[in-house]
Amino acid sequence: MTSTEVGNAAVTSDALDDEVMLRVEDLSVSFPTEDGVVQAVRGVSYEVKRGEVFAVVGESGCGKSVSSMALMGLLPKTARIEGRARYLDNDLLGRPDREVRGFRGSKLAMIFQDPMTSLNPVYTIGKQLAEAVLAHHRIAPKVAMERAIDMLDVVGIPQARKRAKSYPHEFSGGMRQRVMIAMAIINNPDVIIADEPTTALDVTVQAQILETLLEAKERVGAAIVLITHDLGVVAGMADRVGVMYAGRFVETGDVNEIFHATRMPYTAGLLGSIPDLDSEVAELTPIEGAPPSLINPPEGCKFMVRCPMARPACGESEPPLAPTDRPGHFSACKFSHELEGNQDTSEIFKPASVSGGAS
Amino acid sequence: MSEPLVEVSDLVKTFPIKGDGFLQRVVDQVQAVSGLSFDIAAGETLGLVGESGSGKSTAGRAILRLHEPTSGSIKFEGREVTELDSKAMQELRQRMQIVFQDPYASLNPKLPVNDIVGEPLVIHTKMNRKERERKVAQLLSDVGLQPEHGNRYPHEFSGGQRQRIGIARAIALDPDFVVLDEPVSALDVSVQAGVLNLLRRLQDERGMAYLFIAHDLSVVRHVSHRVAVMYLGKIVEIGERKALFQTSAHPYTRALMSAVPVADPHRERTRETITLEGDVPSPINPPSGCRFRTRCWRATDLCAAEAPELVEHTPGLLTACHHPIGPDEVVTRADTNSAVLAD
Amino acid sequence: MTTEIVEPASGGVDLDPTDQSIGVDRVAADGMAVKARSQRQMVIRRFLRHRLAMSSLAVLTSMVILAYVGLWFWDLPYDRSGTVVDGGRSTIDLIPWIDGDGFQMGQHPFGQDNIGRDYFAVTLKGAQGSITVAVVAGLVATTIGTIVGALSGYFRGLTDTVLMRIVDVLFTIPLLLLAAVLSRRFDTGGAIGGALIIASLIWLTTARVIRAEFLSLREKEFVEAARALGAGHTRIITKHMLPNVVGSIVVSATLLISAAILIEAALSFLGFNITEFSLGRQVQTYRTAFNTRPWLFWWPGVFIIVIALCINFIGDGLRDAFDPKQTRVRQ
Repeated sequence: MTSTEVGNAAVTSDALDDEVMLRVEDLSVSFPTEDGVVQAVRGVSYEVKRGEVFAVVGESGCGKSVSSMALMGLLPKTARIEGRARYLDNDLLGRPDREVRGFRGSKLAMIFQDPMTSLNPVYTIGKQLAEAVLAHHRIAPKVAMERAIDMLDVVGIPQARKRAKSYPHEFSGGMRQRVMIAMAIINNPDVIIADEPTTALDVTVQAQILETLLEAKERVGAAIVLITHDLGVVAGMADRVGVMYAGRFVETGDVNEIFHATRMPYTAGLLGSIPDLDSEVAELTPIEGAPPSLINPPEGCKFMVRCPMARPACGESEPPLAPTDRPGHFSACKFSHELEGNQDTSEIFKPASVSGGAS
Repeated sequence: MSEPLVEVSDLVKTFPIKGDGFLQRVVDQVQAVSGLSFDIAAGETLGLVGESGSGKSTAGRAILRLHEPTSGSIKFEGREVTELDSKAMQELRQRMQIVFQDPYASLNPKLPVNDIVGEPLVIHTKMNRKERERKVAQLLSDVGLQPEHGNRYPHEFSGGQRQRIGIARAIALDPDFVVLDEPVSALDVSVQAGVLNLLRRLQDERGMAYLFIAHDLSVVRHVSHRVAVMYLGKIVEIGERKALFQTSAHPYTRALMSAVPVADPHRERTRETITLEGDVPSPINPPSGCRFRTRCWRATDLCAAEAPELVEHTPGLLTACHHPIGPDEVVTRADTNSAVLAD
Repeated sequence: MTTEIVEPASGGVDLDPTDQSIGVDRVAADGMAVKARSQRQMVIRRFLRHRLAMSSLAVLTSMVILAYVGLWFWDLPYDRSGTVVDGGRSTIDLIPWIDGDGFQMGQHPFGQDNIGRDYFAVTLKGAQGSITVAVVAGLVATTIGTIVGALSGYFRGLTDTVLMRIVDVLFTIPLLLLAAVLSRRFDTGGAIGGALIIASLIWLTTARVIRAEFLSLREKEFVEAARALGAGHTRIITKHMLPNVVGSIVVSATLLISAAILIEAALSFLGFNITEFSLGRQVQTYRTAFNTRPWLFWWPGVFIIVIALCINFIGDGLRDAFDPKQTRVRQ
């Protein structure tokens, strides 16, 4: 890392630590399609405090990206969005675009998976960063450019002044993602939404980028909503975790809770299906079956058909996200108490016969 | 190990970069694979790991001659594959197959599954329709799909199921050797495990040899007998799985292993990590000498001057490095950082 | 064209940044694999719901039936002259409710020409000729274009260079001029000959479109998979690639047919014989009568416009049916 004094200079007094930066309440998103209404997100609620990293984790199609794009106003017009989302005291949803434009992009910043598509190929990196400042502040372009160069330095781009004159294609994938982080923090945001920020990158680069992201967060004192499918990334980055399945949270809690005191069979299954680099296991334990269709989904628990603990009661009604035996830990499973005291919760997925069923 | 099934030596594959204009002059070369040598025994899995741009997929395709190799030799049961004419090559294709990464792009959307899986049988056998249908049904149930679904089209299946269809197609003619080109990297973890288990089971049952190409070390560790690590078109380390994962002597392998996040908050936050600087350089102009030297914290002048050969530094492991890491040596963060300052 | 099922999951069309990745969000389709509905059914369903295309199809079908079947039942043949009644005026009631006597065809609905032939019969005969020429030309041109494009895109290299340079050169020659010269040079007379002349000129765009599609299809993994299985060129092209470009082929065929109608009309109007009976030729013949007996000019003119428009609308409908993403962008 180039010598950047990352850190503690920014706002992190204890009083501010508990300040809720973003509060999402009962967010639902649906898309009308030819085959019926797709309920992509069905009642998602969470809050993120200053300086906190909240990870939204789930497999593809679970609605994790859609829920954050709804906050940023990035969904197509056909999307029906319900529920409430508040940034500090400002409503984000259901208001005309021009009223929220002021803090979208400055106070609420987003980092996408693919940096190449988010950067305009015909402008230099420096100009694009400066532009991001000028969009929200009335300052001289020269000052904005200085700010851009500072930020490039912060995210660890060597010779920032020189590189600011380069075009996006002259940067490697990892460097571009650094630029995206610089762009996200350039207006001192309070919330950074990072949507699979490292999925398109190689592992050796991923580590650098995640580190940079954390440092950048510290620097501006923002909260991060980290959307990812990678439980390893979650383990290293998150303070709190929400596990999404079929459009809603099925388990939320502190990161250690989620990994070590799992109270939802789906989470247990996910954890069990990851091959571990440090140990030799003969058989992995997959979760059989596939996520349900979000068009007219079945009654009851949506994970029921894939769940080894399922029983008739699961099909009656969809279990709400309810408190478990542990503080701050919620689970949407009627039988979550059966997982209490279980050391290796993924055991429940150990199949009787390995071959059966398609995945 | 007896006679190897597949023997690759000095395999080179370059892609020309053509200029614009009428004549399309070759202006540059991308060295996707530069001098690859390894062999695979019958029934064995060789894991081939590397990041993007390492040339691992190109290598897999070049071995099957889906990309014509630029130079080098590929021997299948001692027979030189690169010299076969197109008819003999077609014959040989029955015995070496491939499973692709993208389960969406690798199945023809216009054909029902029965036709997709049955295609190798149409091309290479004289089975009549009845026999073929029976065989396809058998194959589908072998890979964990319901044979009744054979008249459906690919888009009616999920990613994991499609990958199983691709596997059924690849094993239809009982090949001896299958290239698995990132077969699970497009799948969700929960589904990935099922496909990995399937591949393992099929190998046990049929004794096929696999070349398992992946960027994910943990997946490779799970399925391979031996592992080769590639960086910018070259193998930097190759050897028994156990040796490689426990006593790797190559800085890159160590860094790669260290970079894989562990799905355990406690371990993930306390473990010693090596963070590499920068990205993989462009394969158009690879660095001189050791190609990893630009990101290596142990690099010296020797590394720039001379490309290291694969040498056995630790038992069971060939490493291409001038400054190998000892088996008991622990690399700490501090080591890697100090080097960066020197840079 | 699995887009149909994928879209709901990823939510947006081009907005979704995850769309680019290998499959992370495409796997979204996993949960969404809705009902077992084949793509053909989807295309048909979307086409049936395209109102403009459907009404165009209805109009066009009735015109074709009228031209080919109607002439049989019409008792006045197109080649028999007779007495000119009422200066040969149309007897059809164009606006039947004004004079209150209801709809009436009359004896000569489209009137009569200067030698007393029933102009309704003449126009239908002309329509027959025009449609035949256009359909044959369109189909032949589509075939040539598809073959050239497919070979070019599949084999690439020298084949591609040679074929595409030929196309480039042909593109630079003014179409009408060439057609005119050709039709003079080879006095074809028959509809087929004329159609071939037109076809030989309009296949170029199709060739380019199909080539582009083949170039991108060729890189698809399922084509590579077929090669890995040992499938030959013919098998790969016919079984794996052509079925995946059917949409483009059908759409370009409709567009070529409508182009052929207009080209035929233009050539005939300029006095070059494409075929003996055609709407364009009628327009040409009676353009001098425009001031005295305008209906002789208008009827074939209206026919040409309506047919060409209908085919174009049908082409639009087909394109939207095959490629629903494009529709959405337009809306």
